[in-house]
Amino acid sequence: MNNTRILDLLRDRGSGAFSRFMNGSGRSLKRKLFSYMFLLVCLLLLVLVTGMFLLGQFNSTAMDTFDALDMQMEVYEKDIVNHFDSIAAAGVNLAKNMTSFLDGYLSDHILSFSDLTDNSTDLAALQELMLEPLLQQLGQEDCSGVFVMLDTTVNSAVANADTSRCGLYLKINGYKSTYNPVSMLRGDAEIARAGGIIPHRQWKLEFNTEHLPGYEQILADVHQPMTESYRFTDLFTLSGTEESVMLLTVPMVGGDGTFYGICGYEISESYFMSYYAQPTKVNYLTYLMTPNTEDVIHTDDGFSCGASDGYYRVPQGNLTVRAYGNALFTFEGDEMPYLGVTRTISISPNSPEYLLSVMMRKSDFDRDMRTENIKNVTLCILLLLAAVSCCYYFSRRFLTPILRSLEQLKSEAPDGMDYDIPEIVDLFDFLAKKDRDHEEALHTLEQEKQHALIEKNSLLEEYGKTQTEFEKAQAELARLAYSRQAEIDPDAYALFLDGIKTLTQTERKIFNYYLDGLGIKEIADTMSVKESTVYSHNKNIYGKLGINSLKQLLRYAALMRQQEADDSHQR
Amino acid sequence: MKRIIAFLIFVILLIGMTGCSNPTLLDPGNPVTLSLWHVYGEQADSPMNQLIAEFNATIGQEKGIVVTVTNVTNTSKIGGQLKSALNEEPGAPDMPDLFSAHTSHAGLLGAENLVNWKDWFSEKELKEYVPEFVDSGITDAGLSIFPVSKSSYALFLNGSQFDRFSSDTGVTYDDLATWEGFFDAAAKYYEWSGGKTFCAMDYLIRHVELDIQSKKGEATFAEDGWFDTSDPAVYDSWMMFAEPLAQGHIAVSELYSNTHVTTGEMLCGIGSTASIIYFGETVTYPDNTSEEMNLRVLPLPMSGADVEYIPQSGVGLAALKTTDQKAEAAAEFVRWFTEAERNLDFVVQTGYMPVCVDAYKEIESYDYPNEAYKSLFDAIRVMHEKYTAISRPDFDGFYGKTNTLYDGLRAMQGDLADRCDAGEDAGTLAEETWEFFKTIK
Repeated sequence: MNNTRILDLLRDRGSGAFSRFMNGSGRSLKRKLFSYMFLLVCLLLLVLVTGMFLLGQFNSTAMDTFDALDMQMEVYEKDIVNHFDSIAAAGVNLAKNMTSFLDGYLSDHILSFSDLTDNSTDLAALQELMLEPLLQQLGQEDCSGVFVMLDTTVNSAVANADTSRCGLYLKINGYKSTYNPVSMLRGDAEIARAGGIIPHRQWKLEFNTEHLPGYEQILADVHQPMTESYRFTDLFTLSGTEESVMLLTVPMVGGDGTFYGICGYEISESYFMSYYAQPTKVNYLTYLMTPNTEDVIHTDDGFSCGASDGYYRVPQGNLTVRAYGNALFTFEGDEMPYLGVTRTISISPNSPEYLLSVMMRKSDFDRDMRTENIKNVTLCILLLLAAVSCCYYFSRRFLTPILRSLEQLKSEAPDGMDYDIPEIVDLFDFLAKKDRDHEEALHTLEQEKQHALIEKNSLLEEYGKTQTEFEKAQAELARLAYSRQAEIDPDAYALFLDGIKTLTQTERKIFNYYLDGLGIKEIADTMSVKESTVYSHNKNIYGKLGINSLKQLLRYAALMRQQEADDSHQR
Repeated sequence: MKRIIAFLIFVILLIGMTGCSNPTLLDPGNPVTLSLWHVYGEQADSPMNQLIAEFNATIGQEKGIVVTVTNVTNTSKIGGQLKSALNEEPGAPDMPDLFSAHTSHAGLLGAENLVNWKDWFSEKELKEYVPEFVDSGITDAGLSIFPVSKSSYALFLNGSQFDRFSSDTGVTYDDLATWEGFFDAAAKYYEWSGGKTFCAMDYLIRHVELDIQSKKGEATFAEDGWFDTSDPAVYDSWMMFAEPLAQGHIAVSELYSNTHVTTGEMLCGIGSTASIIYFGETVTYPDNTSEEMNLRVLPLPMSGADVEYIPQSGVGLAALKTTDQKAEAAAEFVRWFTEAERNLDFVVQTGYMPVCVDAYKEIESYDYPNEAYKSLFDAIRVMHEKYTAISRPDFDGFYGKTNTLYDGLRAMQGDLADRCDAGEDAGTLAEETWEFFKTIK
């Protein structure tokens, strides 16, 4: 059996079942009406549900979540792009100022930059002079630290002197802190104390360029314009601390092309956490800024922050990113899963792209989804119940008077009852009229029957008389035939009988007309011929029948009929 | 049928009794948020914040409590900030639900505005904490400040340099057990190092005060809230520290004593036990040479009297009285935060003294991150066993007077040492400091 055949059968069976369900014999009016109404309501509900589905009403949580997170992302992205752009501009200005500051100092003291190596006096003096401007920069710019690293060292004789570089590194410590003391991470501690600055607990006198990520690339770009050679380092952990930072580095090159070193600003993870905290109504919202790696977010390599007036849990380890739908993504790691949106940004021409993520706890989203599903299911159930109730109520409401009327109709004394349904009243009027018409017709028929019986009796009586006369005529005819038979020549009669067979069709027709009692004129009119023509045929007929007159013809013909009647009686 | 009815009644009663036995106001589905101000931050990555994150992710999530840090500050500023917040001064942040506080802050804010922790902790539970630490938080309104960590003072030494000094002079760590031995070592170091100061002291006046307490039984204060300078005991104790100061053997630290040690400027410093987190692993000298610090921590030198005292510092936690639900949540957090094992973990990271009695039993066997921390907690254990901890005077304005003293001494000490080196009498120079001491009002 091929598939088409099977489908046809199923269709036939289906339509048959449906037809039986809707029109099944024996199904009451109530059930039929209810079924039709229910079917109608179901169709309407189906249209409604389809419309709601197409309009996204059943997926509103996901859409609302995306809208909320996307809006947060919009603000977050704008903040970051603006801030990093502003920091870069400030860094370039800082580099220009520090470069001209160094040029001025070297010129005033008739020194070349190389004269600063192993020159603790001038290096200390330079640091002392730089301290105040750097403190001002630290207070003015949105950053957690500022530094100037000179490409020289206070002691070229110590081990690792080639990676040890003199300079100042000031940073602000604190997280959501109203007490933000400035500390000196690198630089002359005596100068720090004199300036009321605490040496950082991981204070060192000089920088170690080995701990600065991408330093080789920074050196390679030093002779490009500052606006093109600035870069943001990858996030790295400050030596000896547990704090991760990102540095903006801008090279400082003297008027004679001498590389003086680099300067820039620091953005620490605690600063990022505090500075970028976003106002939001979404609970436990988490914002990430991580290297743009494919499918997996390395949270340890990036920044994070949360709501400005709420709590968020700092994600740990790697998060696997998967598309969820509705432009949302899931972020799953060793700890709690998240759901959110992502965007990529570029913070400088020389730095890799970063991935921004705005995430909420997936458990919160799942809870909202469950709530929405419960609402939708409850709505559907309520609509269905309402539909069933309405179908039941209205079908009853509609049919009850009809059925009551029908019951009344069945009763023996319907007259005098009031009907409030015009159609039923019309029906009863119609039926009453039909009854009256029927009674009248019946009465007429009865009368006609009586008339017919009377007429029948009279006809029967007349028939009896006629029959009697007929029988008398028959007897007379038989008597005459018998008497004439004796007068007829048998040979001539035999010739007559044989001659009949030789008559043409027209002659036979005329012969029969004669037997029917028609005259010459009547035959000519009947046949639409001239009388002469009839006469001409008569001549032929007479010749063939061996007769010579119409009278003889009628006599022989009567005899012939008599004989034929006798023969039939005998048979 | 009767049995079924009896069973149903039993079940209903059981459910009712279960409800009565757990009358918590907390709801995991609708967490209560507690804002917190604390002082465990500054330069160090705050272990407090890490513990709060752990609390929120575990017991907080389970019970419906979210603790969110809205301010990290320090002990000298938090009182003023709390007062501004309470008075709703323009620009002041909202008053936190939970905050670090001294007992003096309770008076500032009104102890009646604070949760009495005794309403949320049973007597049996409170006995698990060091009694004097609990007592230090009691106000007229009850236990207003719950002890979570306490600090004292200790002697921090650059072990690498001390080994060389010891090798050359024969001075040992044991010699530093008393003030007499300590000053003797300081003199020898001054000579050995060619005129470098032996020790920086963060809170010189407290050592004077404790010395008076040890020798006399009680420090005497005048009506103006400063020491009674007519008391010979005050003079004697002051001069005991003033002479080494005038000689340049000891100094009042410029900021914190640890910076003098870390930069190799001085061999040792006396400061808060909590300052251990500010000591680096290396000492870097001005010529950019460096060496391992090998930090060694010793108990405070003893006065030699019958009773030895150590200062008891450090804030506790207070909760603003708002709703019972918040009070219960705060109590849950404090209870979790001060569990013996967690308390020890926290204080080891921050350099404080534990507040749980049981935590002291674990100090010896604890797995410390390095020898410096082991050394510190050995010192803390010894001080806990052999010394009596007393709180600082909390007279109004006392802090300001001590700061005036320190600023004056900082200004004087370099010149005094130079004059002493030039041959002036140390006693006479120390008298100048006494004259200055008497001018503090």
